Amino acid sequence: MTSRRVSSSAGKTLNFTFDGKSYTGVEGDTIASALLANGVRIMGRSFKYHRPRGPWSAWVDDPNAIMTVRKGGVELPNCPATTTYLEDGMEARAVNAWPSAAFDIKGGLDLFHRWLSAGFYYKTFMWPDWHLFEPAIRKMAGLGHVTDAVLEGYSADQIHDRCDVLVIGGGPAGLAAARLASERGQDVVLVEDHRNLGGGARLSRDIEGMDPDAWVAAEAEAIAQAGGRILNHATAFGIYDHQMVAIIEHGPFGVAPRLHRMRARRVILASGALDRPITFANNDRPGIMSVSGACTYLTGHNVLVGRNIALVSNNSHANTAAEMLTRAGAHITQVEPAFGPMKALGGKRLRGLRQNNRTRPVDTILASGGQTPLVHLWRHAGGKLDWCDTRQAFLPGSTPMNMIAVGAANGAFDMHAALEEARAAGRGESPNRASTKYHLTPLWPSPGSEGRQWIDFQHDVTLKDIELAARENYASVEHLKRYTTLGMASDQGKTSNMAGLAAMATLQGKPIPEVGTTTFRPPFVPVPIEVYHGHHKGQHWNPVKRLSLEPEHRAAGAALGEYGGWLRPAWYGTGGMAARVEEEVKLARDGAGLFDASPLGKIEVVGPDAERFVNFIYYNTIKTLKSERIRYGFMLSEGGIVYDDGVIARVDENRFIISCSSSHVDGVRTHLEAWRQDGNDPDRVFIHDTTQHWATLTVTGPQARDVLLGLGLEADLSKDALPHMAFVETTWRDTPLRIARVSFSGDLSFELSVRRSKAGDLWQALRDAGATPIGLEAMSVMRAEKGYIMIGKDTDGETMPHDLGFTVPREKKTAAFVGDRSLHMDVANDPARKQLVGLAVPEGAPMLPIGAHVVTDGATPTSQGYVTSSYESPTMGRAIAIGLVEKGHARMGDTVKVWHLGKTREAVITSPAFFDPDGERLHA
Amino acid sequence: MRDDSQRWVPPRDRAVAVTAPGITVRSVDIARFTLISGPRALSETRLAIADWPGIVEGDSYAISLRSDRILEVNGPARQDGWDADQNLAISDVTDAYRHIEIAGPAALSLLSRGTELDPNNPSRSAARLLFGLGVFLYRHGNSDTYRLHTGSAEDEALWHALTDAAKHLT
Repeated sequence: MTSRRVSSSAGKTLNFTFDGKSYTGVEGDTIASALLANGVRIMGRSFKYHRPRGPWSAWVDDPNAIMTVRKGGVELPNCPATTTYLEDGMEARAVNAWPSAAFDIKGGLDLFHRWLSAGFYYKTFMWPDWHLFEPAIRKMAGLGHVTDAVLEGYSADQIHDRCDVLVIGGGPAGLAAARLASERGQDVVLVEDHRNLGGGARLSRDIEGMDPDAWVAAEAEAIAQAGGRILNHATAFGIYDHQMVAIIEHGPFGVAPRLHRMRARRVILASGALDRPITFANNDRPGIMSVSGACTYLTGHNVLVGRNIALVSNNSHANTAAEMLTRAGAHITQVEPAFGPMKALGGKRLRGLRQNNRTRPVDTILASGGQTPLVHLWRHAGGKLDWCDTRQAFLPGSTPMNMIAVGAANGAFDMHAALEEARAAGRGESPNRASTKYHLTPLWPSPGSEGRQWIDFQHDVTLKDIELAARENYASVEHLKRYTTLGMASDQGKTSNMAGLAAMATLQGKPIPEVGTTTFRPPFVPVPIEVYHGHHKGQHWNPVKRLSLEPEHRAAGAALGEYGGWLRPAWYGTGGMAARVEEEVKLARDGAGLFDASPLGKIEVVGPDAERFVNFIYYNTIKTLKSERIRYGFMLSEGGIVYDDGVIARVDENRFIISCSSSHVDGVRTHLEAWRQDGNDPDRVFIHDTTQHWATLTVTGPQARDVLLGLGLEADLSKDALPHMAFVETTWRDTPLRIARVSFSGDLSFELSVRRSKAGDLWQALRDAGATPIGLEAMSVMRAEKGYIMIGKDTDGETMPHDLGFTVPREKKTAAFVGDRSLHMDVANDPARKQLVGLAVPEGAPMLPIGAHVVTDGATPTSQGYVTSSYESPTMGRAIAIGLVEKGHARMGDTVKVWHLGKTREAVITSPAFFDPDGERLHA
Repeated sequence: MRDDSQRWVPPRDRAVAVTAPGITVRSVDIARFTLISGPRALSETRLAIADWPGIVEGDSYAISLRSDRILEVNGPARQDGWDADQNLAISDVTDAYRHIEIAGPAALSLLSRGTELDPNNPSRSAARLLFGLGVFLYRHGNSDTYRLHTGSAEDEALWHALTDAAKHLT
């Protein structure tokens, strides 16, 4: 075995499988470290060419070892082997490989690499049709697959939290900063993405004269003593508005992670730095990994990644690593990359490294092309980056508000400087960046050089792909990224971006900072979607409002559906929707239907300026409305577009009740509140939304009055005492009752409103008196028979009130109202405006499809409008429709063509009022 | 339209409380809820004012919603409409809201699942968004007991959000 565990661990032995073979690891291992300890290097296949891949690193920057992991009936795809801690009984399988990562049947794709360069499918699969190839390509593409199994109980906890100082990173700099801040009385939270604190501490021989482990333990103890909180195995993955930091806290495998929304007054970023790969021929072979990754496997897991190792580095960190690995028993050959082009030899098994015709027979190559500070979160927060020639890296520049970077994340690669800087930050200071002993020889990809040189390991983006993109003028790094998929792998460019943009800089003859970086966006690490939604899924995703009478509706066999944010009865009983709706309409038209209209708005406008205010809000004149009377009207947007329709009732001199559309209550309330504070004295008019205090039951049909008489009310319900568009306040069984004589069905109707808690009693009393429940579908048919509109269904974003036949206020209302000016613009006076009409089809003809277009005659018909509502009318005994048609009001009686999905039919333009056009039933 | 009756859990039995480590969540009933708006609504009421993070005692008090609006809880009976003497708009909203009480040492932890709450950051308004739903929230009786009022039609959604979150308490 090339890689092995070099000393026994006190940890418990854990059994697991990988690609069907059994292995053992120890507690504290990641899947990757356990496999390396067992001598397994090939842990995955690349995305496009299915090249064999071993781990590049030991943590979040690894793009290669991606696995589907199963344990105890839970299977999760796309688990990074380098960050997934091993548990007993795990079954891991490489994604994107079959039957195994070691032998992948699609590995032969690599033979065709000449034809599979960047953008090949944009050019190849254009003819005859991309969709012909799409299913097969999509089946081949992707990493892990989600199973159909539902993970019961896999629900992410989400917590809002806050602190004075959030320290991101539990390495030496983070620990030092957190200790100072907490000892100064600050409420400190320290976030570390490993299970254990320390970060890069163990890569040093000692820290301030102490053993690194002892130093880390002492710092942690001091933080805890001072009241600081430490979150282990938790990663800050995004910074959002107002210093809100998103943190994912991992638990055992199979338990959904927890999301912390941490509001921090101050953020200290101590996220460290990564080794970046060196670009040379065959640099993607298993056995080539980062220097720091190898050191982490050794210090964290007692795993030595090779026996005969070439250490290729351009920077001063290499010597420490070489000493450490030599002490562990490896034979180290240090190679200076600047001496000439290199090529890794071997395939699945690394055989050597060739440079300038000299071959070194090594089994492992460790590479470091310099340190790249992890500045992702800095950029999320809006911080700028400055290019540092000394370090050949982008470093944190101008500071985002209340945030500071320290340690390696800030380019302080020397331990002493990092600790000084961190402690200053912990004290609340903003230290200047110190000079560094760290040095390196600039080493970037060399376009035009020989061999296949990988820039993005997972997505198989090579240096030649970058050259091709430059030739084809995808010169911006953002275009380069999208054309080649550079940096779009699951590591989000942590290993590839610097090399890619450096190559593009060389190709364009520009310095690196002029080319710039792509945009850093959350999440910093892959995050399960479960973490984002938590409780908000299923029926809790967008919860509906519930009727007080829902138990009664369910008992009556209601089919419930979502209408405008409410769960409402669509129809009652069995036998299918069409049959039930037809029967309910007939029952209501012949007797008395009982309809739950509780969601209708009941917004009170109260105060000495209430009359002036509602007169301004409504298109229609309201100031002439008398007490105990009701008026139908429109609210318009400032653009003159119909926003809502409904009725408004006047209770007394200073009080009105607006009954707006059920789905518009929240919007209308907001609309009223906004205008109340604009141009009005807000101390003289107030908006009270009482919608949910009241339940409203509509009794409609020719026998509606008889049903109400059965309640034994004191109020006079006769035609003369309570005419259409009047209302009365009375009591029923000692509880307030409002009776409004309004109708949406076009028939004699009474809307009865009682306190929500009394609705059940009223419902039962009305049923006992002879009313039959009808659902919203039946009511929709009845209102269409009468030609009554539903806002948003029979109107669109251009409909003005005169398009619906309501012309008088536009012409005669003298008082100002919302939308007035817009009703006199050219667009409002366009003679070709779409107007509300009925569309009649011959008796026996099928319904016109909703959305069907009324079209012109001729060889190239154009749309003149469309069908907005269409039903089989049980009352009329035929299909009816209403729609918006150009110049519709002037075309009554015209026969028009109606086109839908290639078929054309004829219809006659009529009044939209098919039922009771003279209003005899309405005013009965 | 399809029949989605089975997609939504029928309304709960409001008499049933839920317990989890450190908390009890239960529905409570309030006899009278009165919405009062006016330029001096806060100063006119004789009731103790509940705001954040103050603790209000007893059965009768007023919840501060905004600078010109309160909700009287079990306050004096008032006539709906405009009170020209006091310059107050008055509406009985007793059935417009439902009420939930969360009691126990983990109550703040449970509420923190649904919103940002900072007892050190006072507010004259008890209005909050909790799990995305509009609520009025304050402490009642002691520092570990919280009362919530939400629109009656949204009570089921809030109850399920709270009791689902309570499953994460350990």
